[in-house]
Amino acid sequence: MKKLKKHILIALMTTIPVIALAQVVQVKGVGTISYGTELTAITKEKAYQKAQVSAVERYFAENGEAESENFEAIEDKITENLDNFILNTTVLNEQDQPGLKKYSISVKVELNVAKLRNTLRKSSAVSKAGAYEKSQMVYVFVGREASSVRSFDTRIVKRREESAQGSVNETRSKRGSEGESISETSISTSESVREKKNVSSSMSGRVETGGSATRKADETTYRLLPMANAKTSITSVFSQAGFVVADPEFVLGDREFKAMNNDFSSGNDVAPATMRSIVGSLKKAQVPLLVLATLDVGAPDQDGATGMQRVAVTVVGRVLDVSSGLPREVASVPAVQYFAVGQDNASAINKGLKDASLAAAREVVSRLNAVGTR
Amino acid sequence: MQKAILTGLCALVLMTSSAIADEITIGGFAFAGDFKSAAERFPITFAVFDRLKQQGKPSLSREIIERMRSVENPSIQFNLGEKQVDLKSSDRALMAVLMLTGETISTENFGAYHKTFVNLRGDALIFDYKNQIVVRSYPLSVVLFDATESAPTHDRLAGFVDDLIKRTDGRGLISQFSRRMSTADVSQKAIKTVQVRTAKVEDAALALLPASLKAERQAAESVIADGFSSIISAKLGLSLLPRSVGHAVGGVMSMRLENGDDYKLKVGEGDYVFDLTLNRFAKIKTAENNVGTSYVYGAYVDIQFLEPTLGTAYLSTSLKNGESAIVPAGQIGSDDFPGYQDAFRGLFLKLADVLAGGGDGKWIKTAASATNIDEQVRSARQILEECK
Repeated sequence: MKKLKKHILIALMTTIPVIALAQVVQVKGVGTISYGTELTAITKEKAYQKAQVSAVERYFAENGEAESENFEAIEDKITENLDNFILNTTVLNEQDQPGLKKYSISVKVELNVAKLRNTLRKSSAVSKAGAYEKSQMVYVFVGREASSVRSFDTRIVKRREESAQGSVNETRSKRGSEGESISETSISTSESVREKKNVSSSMSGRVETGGSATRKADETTYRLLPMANAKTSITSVFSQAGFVVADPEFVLGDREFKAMNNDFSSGNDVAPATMRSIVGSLKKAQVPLLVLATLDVGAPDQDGATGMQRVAVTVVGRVLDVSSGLPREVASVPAVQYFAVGQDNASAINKGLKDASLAAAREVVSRLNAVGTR
Repeated sequence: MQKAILTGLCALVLMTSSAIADEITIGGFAFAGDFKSAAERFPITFAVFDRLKQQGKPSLSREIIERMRSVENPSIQFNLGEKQVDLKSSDRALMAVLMLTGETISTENFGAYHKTFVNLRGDALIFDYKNQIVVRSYPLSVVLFDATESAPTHDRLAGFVDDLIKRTDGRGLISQFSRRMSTADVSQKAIKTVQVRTAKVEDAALALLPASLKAERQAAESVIADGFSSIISAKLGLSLLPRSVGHAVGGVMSMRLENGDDYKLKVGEGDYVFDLTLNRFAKIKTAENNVGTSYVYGAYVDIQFLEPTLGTAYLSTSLKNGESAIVPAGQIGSDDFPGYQDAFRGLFLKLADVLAGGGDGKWIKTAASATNIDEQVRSARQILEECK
């Protein structure tokens, strides 16, 4: 019977498929180490671990500055428990340079990204903070697209000025003399006429041409886009990171929403008056963090690779800490462009808005973690 | 009683092990890269592809799926579209496509006749569409030469391409795809990858290629790189990552299937890479008599096989290879390209044989410039073996 149980156990172990649902990424890393007199197994092991850590570091470096900074905060934790984060390591190359007393190893590792992210989250200031210490946050994500673009032809003004001057002077003089002499035997006469004429003329002309071309910037009117699809995803990113997210609808007044929508739909950023009003509302509600993000959707175009509709979404974000007297910017996301492809314009825009707002939310969380905001 | 339970359990184990064989959905045919410009990049193949659609005939994808019905692979269950793929049941979802990566067609006039060279290149690509990564890629390449009195018409060229894709012998693209699928193994998830990283054609060699290749260096480099990749892949049973040249831009390779699904796959740099340089060709007259003249066509190639992160070169040598050809007496005008093509293909074939552990040991010693070529071949062979 014992034997039978053993067989059943083995059979069951064989039949249960290994479920591997981890989010896995392959990255390469190199570790180089200098050694004293001879290369020992311990030195090799150190280089191996260094290569593994360098692979993890490379993964974070490829994901931006803030991520890289976050890695530095948990580097020790990763180094101490490498096996927890690395599912598999393949040695690609080993190189010993006895002349330089250097040993290098190149590895390819499979990273358990989900676990790395969890560790990062746990080590962030906001996660370490107690429930009562955590800052509340309100986020305002506004999406807009150009609804009409009015272009103007160039206004061209041409001018031509002509002036001419002329003068003619004429002087004329005639002088005559006549004489007669009578003597006893003869009579003689004489006559002389002297005429003098002087004519002078001068003429000058001047032509001036010129003008101006005035180009007027396009007049663009914007249409605000619904963000309902992206809203739950954004909230989940912030709340998973440990922040207490308050719904903007319950913190900001209707007047502020209206003012903000007006600002954005007229093509401007948030007007100072609107901003002051929002900050005032947040202070009143004792919410210290405000995340503002604008998502500009470009005109849909056909994607070269797929022939489907493609849109570009440019996202800009900033985080203000309004807890002190004057609000200060604690993190910002510079303009980043995301592309989304869909069967039609609407699905491409929805996907673009969702992807861009999620990416912006993640980047905001990374930057807030990097500066230790709780 | 115990025996019956044991037998039952054994049967269950066998059934389950076949059920957990990797499932691959056959996606059919795809053009690599930007679909909008596919008609410009693959003019004749696209015309064939489009004509089938216009005439309501079975598409190239349908042809592939039909041919795959008779293909068996003990480690893979092929899903030919009969059932929907369950994306939740596994951490990956595999799909295989025959992806066309290159079409080169050249016609040259040699006095009384026109010589046509047709080369189609592709990848038997297995990818994980859940994670959008390449899992295995087996390069394929098929070639056809034809001589006619007059220049071939567009229809005749389309006929050549149609034949090269569909023919049922080993020289057909779909046949090669099916063959790779019958031997593919995707059970090992983290394998070391190989890639042909660069392929250069020097001016001296470029000058002797057909006019269409001469005008476009990148096309010539693709012919060399893809030819080498397909030979190495077939002879060594290796998967090679798609090349960065022409196919994958910025580490992302895009393609579109006939059903309109588009994929953008991440393609990184291989763990080990080949760098090739085709330096020059040579043509030497070796004998002449009343029947004809015998020539040796030679190709000179520099080859490196290395690990890029530490820069260790396992194989680094110049290689040369000669192939003889007889030109019958009285032949007016002669095309040297088939001779040169035999020379570089012969070089790749012989090198692949040597790397596979067989082949002509004497050839490599005389063909290689490196004095320690045996040692180099041994270390390269060992690495390539680890990549299978």
